Amino acid sequence: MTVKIFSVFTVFMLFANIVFCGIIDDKTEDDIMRDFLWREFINLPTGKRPKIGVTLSAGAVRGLSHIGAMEVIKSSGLPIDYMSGTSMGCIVGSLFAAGVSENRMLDIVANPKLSYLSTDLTFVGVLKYVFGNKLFSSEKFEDFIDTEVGSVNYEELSIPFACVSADIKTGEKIVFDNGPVAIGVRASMNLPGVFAPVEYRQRYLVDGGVVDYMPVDLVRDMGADWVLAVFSLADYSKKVPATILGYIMRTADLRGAFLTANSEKDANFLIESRVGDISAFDPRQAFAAVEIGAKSAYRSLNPMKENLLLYSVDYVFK
Amino acid sequence: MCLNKSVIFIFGFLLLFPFVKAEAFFGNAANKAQKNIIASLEESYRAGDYDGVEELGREFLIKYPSASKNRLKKVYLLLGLAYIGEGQKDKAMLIYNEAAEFLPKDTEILLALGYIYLDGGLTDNAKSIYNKVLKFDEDNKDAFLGLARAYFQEGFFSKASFYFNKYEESGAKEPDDFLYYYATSEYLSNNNDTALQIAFRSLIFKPDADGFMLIAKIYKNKGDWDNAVVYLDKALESNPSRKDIYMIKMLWFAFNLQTSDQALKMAEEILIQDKQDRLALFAKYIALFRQGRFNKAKEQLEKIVAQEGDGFIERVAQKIYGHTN
Repeated sequence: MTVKIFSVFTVFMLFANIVFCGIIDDKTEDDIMRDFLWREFINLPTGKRPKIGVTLSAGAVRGLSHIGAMEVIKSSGLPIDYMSGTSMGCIVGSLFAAGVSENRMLDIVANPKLSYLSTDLTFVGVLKYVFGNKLFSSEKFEDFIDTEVGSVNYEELSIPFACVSADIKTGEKIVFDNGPVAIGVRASMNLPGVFAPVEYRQRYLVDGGVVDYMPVDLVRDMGADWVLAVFSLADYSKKVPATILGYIMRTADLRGAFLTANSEKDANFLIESRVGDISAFDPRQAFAAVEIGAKSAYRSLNPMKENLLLYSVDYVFK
Repeated sequence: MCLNKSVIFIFGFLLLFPFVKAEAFFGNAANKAQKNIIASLEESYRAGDYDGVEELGREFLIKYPSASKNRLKKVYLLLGLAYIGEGQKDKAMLIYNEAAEFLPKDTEILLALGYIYLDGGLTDNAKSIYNKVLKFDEDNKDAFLGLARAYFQEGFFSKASFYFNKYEESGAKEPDDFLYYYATSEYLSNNNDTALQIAFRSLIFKPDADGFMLIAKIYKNKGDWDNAVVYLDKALESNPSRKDIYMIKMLWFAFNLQTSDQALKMAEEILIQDKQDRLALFAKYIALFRQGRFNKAKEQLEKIVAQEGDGFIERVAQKIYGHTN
């Protein structure tokens, strides 16, 4: 009688008990202490702990890594008192601050539509863009935000949230923290050179990444004592852009990296989602970005908890 | 004409017959040899003779690269298992990769490759393999479990729960710890009610200290202190040698004024064996602090700080100690 030792079941049983090693078992005293203090910390009443802010960087499709990162951060139980974001960070942040479920966000990522962004993204629209020097309108994006978030004002969001755009005429940083959510989010993601500036209260607004790629200062101004910054870090050394859009985005990336180097110093903790060479404009790579965000955040979770607990030690032992 | 044809046919048959027989003979011989090698391979594997498996497996692959798919699969799987048995997981990964090139649509080979990727922490590769399996077999429960484990390792708990759920819905009962990880996944997603339901189901299959401890943690998360302590004690009863559970109980009790005396006793028991134990000293600090015995509490911090370590416990102690001075 032949023993079927080659069956999948055998292989499976062999591996069954080894793939979780190091995740749950083998906790050190430091791990036990951290987990214990963390649970105590997250159960502290709002007024009896530091105010916590989270800021999300820009990054186009790569910035969708924030969905994965926020999922992990939320699962950790981190209380979030304030949020800010720029461009894609603003879109994800606004959805999160409005309480849109992570499953809904993943649905959007799984079925991305150009029509969410603009009605001009058609063959004729592209011809007008190329030959007629006519930028795309991003007006349609307001409908998308209104549908997902509801036609609400910033003041009505579950978590206080603000985002950044730039006035292309004056170079000023424009902060949206009141009034309708949709217009601010649209302005924050309004990539210059692709979308026409958003005309709003005598301003000509473009993507906030031009002036503040990761608005740590903004969330501090809102009242956060301890700030977690989540940055979508691209590796653009592998490819030279091949299109006009590619060059526009690369320039934005380089400027973003420069701006972030300054703002990350002001954050208490930085999570870097290393999205590698995921294209800024390839929606097919959106879910890969989400997964990278989750993995990066999970890897940073224990150091982040330790950082916050050390910052808050007096609150925990009061 | 007809006659000529018949003559040619008969002549041809007679001429070719010995070769046909020879082919059949040699074919049978090769078939028999393959069967023998595989039988020996299985025997060697059962006997734990991994060197023997490697030798025979390599011989088979060199001699019979065009053997039947089933036989090749057997050999590849056994070779990989032998490498794993020897602790040479890199080699197992290589052999399963080679197998996947030969047999790209074989779900068993792909699953084995997925497992070895998971074991190596290569969760992206593992997920890609499991998704490939699902393309060939959309209800493959092992692929669901593999994806659940991959997402669990990555900390993407909502996705892990999604696939654990699919795995359970497929009617699978094995391995006996999957419900425990499913419950843990829900617990780590802060879905306490769902986590509790699954954790109780997991106790049916695996009533051990980890299972009781998980339930205790979920109850504590829900603010149900009494039940949390009941299950914490069950966890300790189930495995009294688990120091980590004892430590957790000591910390929980230290933080609660009503149980802080008990925590002090627990800490002393540890400190009798190791007077430098940082966590016991810290638990003692917390319990004394809760009782308002601040000077005594501070002495415990001093003992930790004096150890000049750079672990998390020391860093917390240093921070508090710095503030109290």
